[in-house]
Amino acid sequence: MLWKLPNIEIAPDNLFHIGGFQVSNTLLDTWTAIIILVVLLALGTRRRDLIPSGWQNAIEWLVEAFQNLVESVAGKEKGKKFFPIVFTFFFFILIANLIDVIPGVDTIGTISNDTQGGAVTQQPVLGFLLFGADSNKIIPWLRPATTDLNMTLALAVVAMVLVQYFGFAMLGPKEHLSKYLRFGEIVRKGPMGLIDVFVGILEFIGELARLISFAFRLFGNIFAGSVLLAVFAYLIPVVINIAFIPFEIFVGAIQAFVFAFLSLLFMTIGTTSHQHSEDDVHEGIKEYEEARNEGKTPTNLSSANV
Amino acid sequence: MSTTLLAAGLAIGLGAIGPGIGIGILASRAMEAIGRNPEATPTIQTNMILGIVFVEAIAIYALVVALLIMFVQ
Repeated sequence: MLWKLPNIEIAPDNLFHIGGFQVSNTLLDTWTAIIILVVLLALGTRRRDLIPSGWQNAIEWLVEAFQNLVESVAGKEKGKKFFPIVFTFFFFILIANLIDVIPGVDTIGTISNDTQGGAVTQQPVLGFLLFGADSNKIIPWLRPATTDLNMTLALAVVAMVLVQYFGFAMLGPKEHLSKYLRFGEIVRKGPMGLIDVFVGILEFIGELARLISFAFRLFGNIFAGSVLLAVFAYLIPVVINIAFIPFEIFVGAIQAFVFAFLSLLFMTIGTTSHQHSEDDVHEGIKEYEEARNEGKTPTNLSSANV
Repeated sequence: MSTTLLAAGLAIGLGAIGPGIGIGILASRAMEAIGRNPEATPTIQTNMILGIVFVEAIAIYALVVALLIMFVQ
């Protein structure tokens, strides 16, 4: 056997510690992604020319396109409030996913050989120069940040807490809580209101389910992608990853977009009042009936203008 | 050890049937809609990707269960 199947594990390995705080290889990758993001965006906002050119132009185009997308979903004033966090989600997850396909990530690391006496000797080694029995003991120095379930869970928790925070801030605590605790419906509609109470409880469970689905969707896609790349590199060494690396780039970009877009969607839904939408529908129906009774349906009006 | 392997194989194998069919239905309706109205392609595409992501999340749950069975003792 020239080399062995790569060692797949879900939990990341700890590389070193800074005074009692364990630093894992995914944490190192998170810091790298943050540094890259800060450097890229700081370079774009250094000069404030009125007519931008070069990198500033590119960043302005990006920000404007994204802001149009956010405002088309959430409306103008809400869009301004939601834009920073959604933009950050998208670009941070995009860069963290793109680091996955850079050569050297997940392959350059150290081997720890546990000797009989308990001493652990570590030698830095390049993954592709490893043959034989040692070839799957490598601990990489950089492992993609979103392959760590802790990272994606943290991102999902931040997104869900922000949804609740914006709900409280924009709707007021009473109206926001009345989406989940709908005891007022029993007062209003009588015993049939029990169904609404049940729906309120279901919505609360739905929030928790969204948290888990956010975390596992991102983790599962990127972790499965890195395992795919590793296993295919084991099976057919150089050639087949030419087909799979573009696929991984595509999947990483789509997952970043979906995470940002879904959190935007949930923030928008969470700050839309439930009662107002019902009243709007009734008002609209009343307006239409009145217009029709006066003999002027919308089609009549448009033919009158012609 | 052998029932572990069988369990992991069944988890991801059976778990990917539903999402596969679901994504096929979604994509086919999207193609039909684009064929009928090519001007609305960006809207249809964005919403199709959104729908596909929700369906694919179910397959990802099945994959995570298979990985948990295999690698966590």
